[in-house]
Amino acid sequence: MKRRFAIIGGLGVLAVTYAYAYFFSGYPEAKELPLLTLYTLARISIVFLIATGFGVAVGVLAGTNRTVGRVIIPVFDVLQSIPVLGYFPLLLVTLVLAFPGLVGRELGSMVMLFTAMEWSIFFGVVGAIKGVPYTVQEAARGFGLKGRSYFRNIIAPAIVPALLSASTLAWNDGWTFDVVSEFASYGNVQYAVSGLGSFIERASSGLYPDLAAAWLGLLVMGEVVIITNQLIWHPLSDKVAKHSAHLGLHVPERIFHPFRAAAGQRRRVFGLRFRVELLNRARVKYGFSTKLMAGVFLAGLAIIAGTFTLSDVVPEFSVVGDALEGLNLAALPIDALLTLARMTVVYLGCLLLSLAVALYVTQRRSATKYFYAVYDVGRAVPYLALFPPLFATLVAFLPGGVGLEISSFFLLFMGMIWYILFNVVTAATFLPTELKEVSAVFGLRGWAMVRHVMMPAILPAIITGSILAWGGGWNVVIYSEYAKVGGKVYSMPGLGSLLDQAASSGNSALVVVYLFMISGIVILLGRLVWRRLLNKVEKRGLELS
Amino acid sequence: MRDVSKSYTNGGTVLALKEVNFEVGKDEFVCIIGPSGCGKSTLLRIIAGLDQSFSGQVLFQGNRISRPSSRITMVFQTFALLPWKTTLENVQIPLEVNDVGRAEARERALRYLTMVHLNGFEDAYPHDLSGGMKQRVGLARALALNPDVLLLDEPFSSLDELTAKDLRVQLLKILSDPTLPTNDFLMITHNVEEAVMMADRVVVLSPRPGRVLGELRVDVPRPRFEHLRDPKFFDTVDRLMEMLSSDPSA
Repeated sequence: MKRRFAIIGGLGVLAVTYAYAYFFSGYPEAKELPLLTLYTLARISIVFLIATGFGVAVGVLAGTNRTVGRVIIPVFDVLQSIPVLGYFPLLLVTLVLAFPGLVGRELGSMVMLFTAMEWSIFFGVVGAIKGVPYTVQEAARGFGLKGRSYFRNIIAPAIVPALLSASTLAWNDGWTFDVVSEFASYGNVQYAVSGLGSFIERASSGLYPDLAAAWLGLLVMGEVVIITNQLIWHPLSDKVAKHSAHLGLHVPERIFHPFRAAAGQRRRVFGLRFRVELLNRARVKYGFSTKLMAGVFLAGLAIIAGTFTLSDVVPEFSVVGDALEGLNLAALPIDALLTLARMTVVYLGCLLLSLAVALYVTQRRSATKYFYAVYDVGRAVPYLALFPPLFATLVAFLPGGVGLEISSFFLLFMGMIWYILFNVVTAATFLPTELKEVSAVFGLRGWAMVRHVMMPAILPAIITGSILAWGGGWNVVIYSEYAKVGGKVYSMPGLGSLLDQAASSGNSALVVVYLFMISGIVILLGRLVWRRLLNKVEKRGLELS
Repeated sequence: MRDVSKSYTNGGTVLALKEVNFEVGKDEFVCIIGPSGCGKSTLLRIIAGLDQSFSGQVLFQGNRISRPSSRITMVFQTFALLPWKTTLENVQIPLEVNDVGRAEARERALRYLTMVHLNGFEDAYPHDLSGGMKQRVGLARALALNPDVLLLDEPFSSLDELTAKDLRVQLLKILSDPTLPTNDFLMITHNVEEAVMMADRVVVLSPRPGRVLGELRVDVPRPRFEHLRDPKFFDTVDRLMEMLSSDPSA
């Protein structure tokens, strides 16, 4: 009932927004907002279906066939670790060269959306298949289930919950990356396809004398995300959560105890936890092949260095050599450090905030439902689309550099916080009963409880959340350190803006170099920080959650 | 325990315990037996001060139990060790938290680990210990606080039978040590032979809602592991079995 009300209300608000844009705004393109919404909705839906089909097919193959899995999982892991926004411009240009005109642009946009959606689905499916208990696999084989019957009776039921949880994330990720997928510039050429995202981007960069149209576009996008979540994903995940609970699938029994609230609320909280948990675990557990990544990285570096060295000797390579002239090696470490510093500051802030919220929620159970409500809305905000209008608005009041720093920090926050917050709060809320009892019996209260029990218990969740948050953070950095408004270019010192500048001047060789720099840092962080922490956690026999 | 009743709301209202009355005397080992789901564990949690939403009275040396205290500690069915702490830390930290100085806490922890034959494993993590060893850490942790009462929540049921058999004998040896400050024990189990082997007195609970069906003093001489083939032992087991199957309300 409540949900129906929310959907009808949401559609009503959307209609009012359209009507306002049509009758009262003076912007010709704003009148077409419903049409633009349809374009974007259609594009995201089509790519979503393709990504789901591909994810299931390849995921099942990788999950059931050991040889295939050994090849595909690490490769996909490498792909998911490289920030997609780093290589998107190159990919787009290649596609437009291969398929000139609208076809190439549409294809580029769809490939971008596909990359934003695919990894969640693929790793969700693989994780679910690998999560089928060994005894069940043996029993199935014992009863002669093979091929199609094995798929229908074992694999399919196992992947449905994970697939749903992944789909929700993929859908939201698609909307988040929509603004980038619909509008990109490389060299002096702009590549745009019609839709909400490109509307927001263009309205923010000086299409109209004021920014009302941009905010209007963002409003419409936010409304559509919320409505589709309410209409499709929430009911589905509640249903599957309920169903899985009946089947005893992946449902630690304790989840149903701490809440005195009505069964519906419990299911809701469970549904949410469920959606993200399976996926996070799969992504971190079955991914993380830093060795292969390091190999790819070093090979790439060798090629770049080789080309650079040869460019003086072999005339064919001199083009690359000239392109790399723009590389300022002295500034590079400083820019890299600045970007890392920004990310670290925001990351630590997110971590502290998450821990504080986790402590608060464990003290006051009644706060849980508000937490999940906020999470639900916050996670759905297509934050990348927030950047163009936010920056364009700020730059009207503040010096460009300050405006960009503020927007970038805010965007980083939005890109990182939800992963950490959700993982940490959920882990703290669902602390095993046994641990709570043992703390009570042996007098571990207050700080002693936090230090000796809670913090180590939620460490796996902190690591999982952190890995995912940093992954999101890199994309934000690339997107938000550089902006064009009203023909004026704003940039702040950092690795992301170096990459953007290279792309904006159409210097592919430089883009590749910066992309390798970023990938190198991602790999180093993975090996030096996350892999070590994961090893430590695994040594204690703890489960990743 | 005076007229202790407890109900859950889980959709409808489920009565878990109904007017339970019994006492544990000084220097006594009491076992509570009953079928699965009869509320034994709930009963133990009420005594430990972990569960306060019940009706009736639970008194400890004349005072109401309103929260957990270091005078009543517990050994858990699933060991409940902190996986991220070493064996030594698992025993030592509760001591420090309960205002025992660091040096003394360490010394006492080592002493109790030696008592449960775990010297040499101080720096091992629970993950690397066998089930029997983990439960011995749990025992050392609970005894090191020198509680007045030790609660044992099915301490052998997560172990294989051979390990459990060994550990029962060891536990009885440790608990009968005259220098041990703790002398009151309350254990719950669904294993009748185990109850007869360990307890001075056995309290029998009915299926849900748990009520006291009766109690029996165990007359088998100690050390019991030398009398496991005595007719008296089998006789006591038979009588307890009879009590368990007699449900006056049925």
